[in-house]
Amino acid sequence: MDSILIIVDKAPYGYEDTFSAFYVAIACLNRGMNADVLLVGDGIYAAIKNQVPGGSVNYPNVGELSYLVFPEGNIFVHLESMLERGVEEDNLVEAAQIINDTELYEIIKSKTIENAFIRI
Amino acid sequence: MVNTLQEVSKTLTIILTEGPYRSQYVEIAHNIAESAIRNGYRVNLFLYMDATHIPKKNQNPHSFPNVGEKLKNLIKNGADVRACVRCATARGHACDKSAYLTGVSITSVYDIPGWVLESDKIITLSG
Amino acid sequence: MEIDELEYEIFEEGPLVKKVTLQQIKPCIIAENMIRVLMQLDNEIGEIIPILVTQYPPGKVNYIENKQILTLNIYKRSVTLYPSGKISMNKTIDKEDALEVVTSIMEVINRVYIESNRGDTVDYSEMKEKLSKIGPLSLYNCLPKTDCEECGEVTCMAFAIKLLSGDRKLEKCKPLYDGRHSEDVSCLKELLGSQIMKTMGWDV
Repeated sequence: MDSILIIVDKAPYGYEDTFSAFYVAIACLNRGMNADVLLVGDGIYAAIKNQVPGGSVNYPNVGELSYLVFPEGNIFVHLESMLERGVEEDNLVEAAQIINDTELYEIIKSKTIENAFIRI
Repeated sequence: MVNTLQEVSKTLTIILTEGPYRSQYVEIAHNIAESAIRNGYRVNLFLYMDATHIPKKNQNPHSFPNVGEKLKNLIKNGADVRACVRCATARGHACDKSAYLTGVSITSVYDIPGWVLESDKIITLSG
Repeated sequence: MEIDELEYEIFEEGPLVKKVTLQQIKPCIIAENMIRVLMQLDNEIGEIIPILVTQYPPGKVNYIENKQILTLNIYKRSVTLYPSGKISMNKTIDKEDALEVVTSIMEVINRVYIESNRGDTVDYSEMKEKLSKIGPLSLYNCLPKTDCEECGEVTCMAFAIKLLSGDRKLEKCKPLYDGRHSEDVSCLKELLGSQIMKTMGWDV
């Protein structure tokens, strides 16, 4: 399979999953594969700008990880999930691309058989 | 001259991210992998994040299925089982070479793109 | 986690950008051949980015106008500049390599900043229409079309393609530079405009 869509639906810092998913995306891009990240549900919090992780958590800044995926890969942020959570475009990092349900459908439809879907 | 048609076997990759007992994912992965192997698939199993606890030796769960035994079974049947070095190290498993069951290699997250490229199907089981 | 962040002062007297903070991001603890780097300049560059678009050969530039995000395919890698002053870079050998590349970009940013304050620059919105019409064919039409090979390319079409990608400079075309084809020079000025001609290496 030539390309990968990584689906993230957990918020960062509460779970290791979110930044680990971004690491998978970066590893795929480093190996020359197409990789996109879809942030949906609580995953949209990964794209909030000006994150300052500190204290005992010591996880990498997930917002900044999106700058390393884009523009080779896309960071899709699901609009409905944003609206449900009161998050606006201004709250997001520059690398984020907001998509609505129709656009999400088109993106998934355009992914051929050779696309892997991974949800972490 | 005899032409032999060799059937190219398909490859299934399963990615696990959860620890051994809180969920049934290891058992599910085992059952899928076993069935795939019986159907001629090559099976790769990547252990990411908490799944790096799964191959620990000498597990002795009461009332839960023994995931270590299930993993040993898959390895015996030819599955390629690898664990992420960053995750395993964070959890204290990589430094002690004897911590894991025989046949489980500690590699890197780069195996994911490597395996995705060569696989026909990818399944992620995560909580 | 494999991240170390360091601040470097590049230009003590830099008019817009003086310092850069650099982070290497490695998804794994094992060593890799090439790394990805995220940098933060000490100032926002949103006003400069639309002007920067015209400072690099069209073939090397990818510009997302509504977000003002500029990707340059230079120095054998992709360098992406954001209005906030963040810069990301892939295919980088090490920190020193990253610093070398970002220093040259900061130089251009500072120069363009001074020039724009003097009113000496042209930005993307003014060039947009011209840029959309520039392709290998339109460029080829304004070249001597003699395939003389003096530029080092076998044909004028090959030269046109290399011009777009920035791998050849306009001044390499001796027949043009020597004044033998003044109608072609006018054709180029009309097609490209003076800023892009300058970017493509026409230093007259």
